[in-house]
Amino acid sequence: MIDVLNLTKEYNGRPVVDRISFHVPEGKTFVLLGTSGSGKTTTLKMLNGLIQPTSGKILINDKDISNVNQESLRKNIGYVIQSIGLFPHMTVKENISVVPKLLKWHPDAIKERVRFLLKLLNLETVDTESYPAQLSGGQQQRVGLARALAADPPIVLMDEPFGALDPITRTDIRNEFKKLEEIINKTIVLVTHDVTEAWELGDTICLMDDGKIMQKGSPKELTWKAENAFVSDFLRPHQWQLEIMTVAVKDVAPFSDKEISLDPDTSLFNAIHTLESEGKKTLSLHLHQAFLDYKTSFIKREL
Amino acid sequence: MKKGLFSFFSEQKAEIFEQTIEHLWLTLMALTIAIAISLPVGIMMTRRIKLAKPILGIVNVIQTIPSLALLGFMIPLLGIGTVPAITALFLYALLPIIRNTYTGIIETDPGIKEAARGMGMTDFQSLIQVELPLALPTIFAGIKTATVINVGVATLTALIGAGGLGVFIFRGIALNNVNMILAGAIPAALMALMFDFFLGLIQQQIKKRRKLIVIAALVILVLMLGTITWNKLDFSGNSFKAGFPSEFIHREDGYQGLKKLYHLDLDVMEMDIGLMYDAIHNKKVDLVSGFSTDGRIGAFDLVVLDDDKHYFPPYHAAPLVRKQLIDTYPEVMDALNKIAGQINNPQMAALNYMADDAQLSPGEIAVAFLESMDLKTKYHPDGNADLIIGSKNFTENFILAEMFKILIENYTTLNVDLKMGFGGTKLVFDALRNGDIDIYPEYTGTGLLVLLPEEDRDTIIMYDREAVYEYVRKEFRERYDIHWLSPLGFNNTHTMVMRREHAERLGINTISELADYLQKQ
Repeated sequence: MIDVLNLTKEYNGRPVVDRISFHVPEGKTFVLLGTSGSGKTTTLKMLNGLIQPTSGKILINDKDISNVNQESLRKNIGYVIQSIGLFPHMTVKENISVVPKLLKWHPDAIKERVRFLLKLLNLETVDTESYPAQLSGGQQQRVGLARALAADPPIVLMDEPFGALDPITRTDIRNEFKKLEEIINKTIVLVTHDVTEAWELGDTICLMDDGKIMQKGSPKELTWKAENAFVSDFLRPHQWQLEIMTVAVKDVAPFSDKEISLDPDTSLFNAIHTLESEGKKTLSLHLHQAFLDYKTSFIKREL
Repeated sequence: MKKGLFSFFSEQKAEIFEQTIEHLWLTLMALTIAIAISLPVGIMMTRRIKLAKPILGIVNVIQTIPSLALLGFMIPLLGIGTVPAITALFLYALLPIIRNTYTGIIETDPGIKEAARGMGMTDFQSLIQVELPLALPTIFAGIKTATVINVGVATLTALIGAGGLGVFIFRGIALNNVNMILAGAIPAALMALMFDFFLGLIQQQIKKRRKLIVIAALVILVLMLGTITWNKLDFSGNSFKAGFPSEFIHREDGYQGLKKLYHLDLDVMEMDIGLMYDAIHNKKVDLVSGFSTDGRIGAFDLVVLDDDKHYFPPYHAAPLVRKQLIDTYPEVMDALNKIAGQINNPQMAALNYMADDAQLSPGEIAVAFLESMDLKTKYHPDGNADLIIGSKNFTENFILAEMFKILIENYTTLNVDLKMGFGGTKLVFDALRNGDIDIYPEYTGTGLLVLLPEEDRDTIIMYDREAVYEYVRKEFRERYDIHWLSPLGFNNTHTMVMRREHAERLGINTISELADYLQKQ
């Protein structure tokens, strides 16, 4: 779907993105993770032509985007930014209709699409004639998402999409977001500095530093097979959490002498979270123990 | 103040209304042109950032030119009347609108601009759909500022014959008539407040119903302009125009009496005294009220119409002095008498011409003349002034005041300060009575007709040329304790002035012939 080849962006001769290459398969979520200044946002903005690369190529469906009309390229790529960027002078409805209108959709089709998206994003209670300033932060974020999805683009670019929200709202919206069918089939490139967010949403994670890719791979690969000191240092504060996020109940089941009556595909992180919230402390401890045994055997196998 | 403000307003309501409409028209016309030019320029600057600084610099400089000076620059370029007035107002309206358009757009939240581009809007779509609507309140604030500035500056355009409420203000200042000043100032202030209020209201509302309000505001503007412009169009074809200064129009010894005596029916345009000659020279008007010693009559090839009914009283110039000063420093009288009876009409005209055409300063001219009379001119004492000489605001008075100063400084031991350019007869005379100044050059006719109370005037004597001086001398001494010293010699009376070529073509030599010609039309 998206192929990035030797992409470089220099400002005044200094590279902020330095010869990076990656591939994003159709329908997958690709996360660009890194600290600020790592080049992740610059990379994202090159994907829809907001920033022109110094060298290198970007292919979307095998077509070099530098040969395509930039406006029509962007109309077919959803775009969500951290500051949300809702147009304050337009109503909720008008904000969501921007791209379909630019694409000259029939007014009835636009109306239908707006209604569908509002329902999908749990915004039915919001007055479509109200202005962004009248909405809560979470509602604004959902409207921003609805606007990006309005024309049903196959690709959605997201730059810190949940960055402006408080931690609780953020977790809630992220969980809803993961389950959205509208999202599941889309090819998504997401920029974040939040490791948990990356692990929760990403199929592939690309950890960047100083314009270069330090490692890219599945959450599991990054958690368990850090390729260099930068990656392991970067992930260390979250290591425990990332590990139980990347291990499923079925993985640790062989190390348990008790029957575990949980969905075998659910992550250990979620399983423990559920048990704790249900007050089943003993069972939770038991899972912890099983995980430690699993990890011990895993490390022995590696050695 | 003999009459109340209210009764003055109701007497003058027709003209107040007319000048208010004129004022409104000038303001809105200039504003419309300014908006039509400033908006595209402001928008263009946001797209060509490099041009922003120089353009803002230029309009900033224009804004710092004092309004009177700007009006002054307009005259050689565009002459007098509404065209230069609107041009000047337009120039003043540029800065607030251009600056606010530019900053309004430039300061749009970068996140919002990024979103617009990221959605796939072209630059033009982003401008029209996002940036302009968001900048609209700021742009409107600029338009509001420009409007209020324009209402204020438009009071000054009366000086270049464009009419408006300034007509009352300047006429009032010249005649020292407070009611008349207020008849211009109050409607002008109300107009500014009303614009400020209503545009402020629109500015608040514009955040929501943008399109509706912008369209409504445009429609109202065009309708108002259209209506007034239509009414202004003069279909009568009466092309003979006169240009008089406001003081002349309203003075007893000015146009009012002239009109009655000669049955003159003129289309009169009010204009600043300094502009009249340019106006007649450039054929903007066909008749002006001149003064017989004016140097420009000869210079511009103009001709004085004969006052065949002896309407204009004599205006012999003489120093007007506070009695106290003569008591304290009697030597002043001897010093000033050195030029008593020494300047005749052609000489005075020549001196005035040196200032108007040869661009010499009044001081240089005074020195040159006194030297030609073999009088001392070299001594310039310094230190504190013992007395102050004043003058009215025109060339001849400047030159005479300078002469007085040089004579007193060279023939007495006193030091003199000058306080030049009082805006009207009453102002300078009141300054003399209050002791703010001690001497100024005055004219006998003015003394009789402007400074003595109406009911006490012996107007019969005004046609007896020699008796006027004796009469005002006696009256001023008894009434005000102010002395007329000996006249300087020349008689600077009012005259009616036409272009020589024009007068000859129409066969007009006297004011009576002019009145006949106009009646036949």
